[in-house]
Parts: sequence; structure tokens; C-alpha cells
Amino acid sequence: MIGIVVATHGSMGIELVRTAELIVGKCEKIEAVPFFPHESGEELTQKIKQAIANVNDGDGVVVFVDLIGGNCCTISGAFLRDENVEVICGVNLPMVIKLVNHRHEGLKDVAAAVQKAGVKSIVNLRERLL
Amino acid sequence: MNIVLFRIDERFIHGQIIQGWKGLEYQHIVVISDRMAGDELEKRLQLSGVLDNVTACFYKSNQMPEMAMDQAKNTKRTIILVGNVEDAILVIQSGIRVNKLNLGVMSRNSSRTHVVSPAVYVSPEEMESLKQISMMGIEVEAQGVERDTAVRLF
Repeated sequence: MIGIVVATHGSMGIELVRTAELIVGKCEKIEAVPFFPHESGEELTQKIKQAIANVNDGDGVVVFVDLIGGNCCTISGAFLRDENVEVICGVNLPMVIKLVNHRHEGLKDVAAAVQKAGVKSIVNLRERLL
Repeated sequence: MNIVLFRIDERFIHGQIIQGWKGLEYQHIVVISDRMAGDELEKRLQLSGVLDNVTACFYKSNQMPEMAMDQAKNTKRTIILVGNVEDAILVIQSGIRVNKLNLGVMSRNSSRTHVVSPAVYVSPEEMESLKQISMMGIEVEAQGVERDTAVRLF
């Protein structure tokens, strides 16, 4: 099963996981990593490292981060040295749900599908419907 | 050299630099970091979010003479980022002229007993060094992003 880590500035990731579970039900091998202003990059590195280890059962891990180029991104990105880790920036709720529903497929394919789902979920409703 | 921001930031290029200091209309970033300068993946990660027109270069802290020489020719609006007070001093000693040192991110640890802001913690030794810097005519202030109110230390 592909493990999921959601690393964000502040508590956004914690709420994102909670909200995803409201919609799809309780999930396993999913962890949120919050990052607060007083914490050092080293602390964040350790937290992400631990979270990846906790959710990885050998099938690989997707780390979602909020902002490309932000600290959660640059620190998670260092784990790309591990071929079994993918990092996807710009996380939104549909992406987390998509991943939760496709956790038993190959890591690279799922990462691509999740990225696509995220983009597809961004819609101007007026343009779409009216 | 046209320095628009000289900053201590342990995170170097991150969201606050990319979004929070956009108003400076900077075109170039100089990063002083042994870790970043020696690692291709770290460099790419640092640059992953910057605007397309912004360039960057990375130096190790023992490359200050080289940095000063390269940057002397640079006319772009430039941000200099260092990770700690010692490297800030090295930049100043390299002869690059700065009039203000911004403290952006200096995270909490056991020796940093002085809390300046939610992201800036300073040890007594660092406070003494910052005072020395101020005596060279350089203002020292803590400010996360442009919209925050600056806290003047010296």
C-alpha cells in the first residue's frame, strides 16, 4: 500500500487528512506533518523522515506539500534521492482522495494520476456550468 | 552591487522570499551556504519556486573573495541570503557594502534564549556579534516579510 505524508505550513495538512477521512472514511498509513515558524529546517527534516518511515510498507510513499519552492517542498524534495518517494506540490483535497482510492497500484503511475486529478479538480464553476 | 535585501534565513529561498518580498522586484539571489553550494539537488530545490526571471548563484562560506569579485559586476536588484550570523559577518568582511541586516529565520534552540519574533531567536553570543555589526553602521532588524513590522535590534 502506498504511504501518504501531507507536509504543510501550519496545521493545514492535519485538517486536510481529517477532512479526507470525513469523506472516504478512516485511512491507514497516512500522516500529516505540520510546520511552524519557530521550528528549524532540521526539525522538519526529522519529522518528515519519521513520517515517511511510519507509512512506508515497501510500496513507496507520496509526500504531498502545499507550496512549490516553500520550505516543506525544499525539505521533502531532499527525500527524492530515494526512488521510492514521490513529492507532489500544490496539494488539494481531491488529490488526497484520489491517492487514497488508488493505493495498491504502482507508485509512479499513481503519482501521475494524482497530479492530473488535482489539476482537473480546479474549475471555474460559472464557466463550466453557465 | 545593488543589494535590496541582506538577510539571515536558515531556510534560504522559501515561500517568504518568493512571495513575501516580491515587492522588492529583485532579479537575482546570492545564497551563501556550504550545504546548498555543494549539492545539485538542493540547488534545484531552492530554485523550484522562484519566478522565471530571477537568477541565483550559490557560494560556500570560504568562497567570499570569489563571490565579491563576481558580484561586483552584477547590476541586478539582488537579495543576499546567509544561514547564520557568522556568514553575515563574512559577507560584510568581503567588502560588499550593505546598510541593513535583516533577520528572517533563526530558529529556536537551547542557546538562543532571546526571543525577537516568532521565527527569530538569538543567543547571547549572536547578540554580541549583531551589536558589533551595528557598530559598523549597519542597521539590524527582524522582519519576516515586507508586510510585517520590522523590529529594530540595533
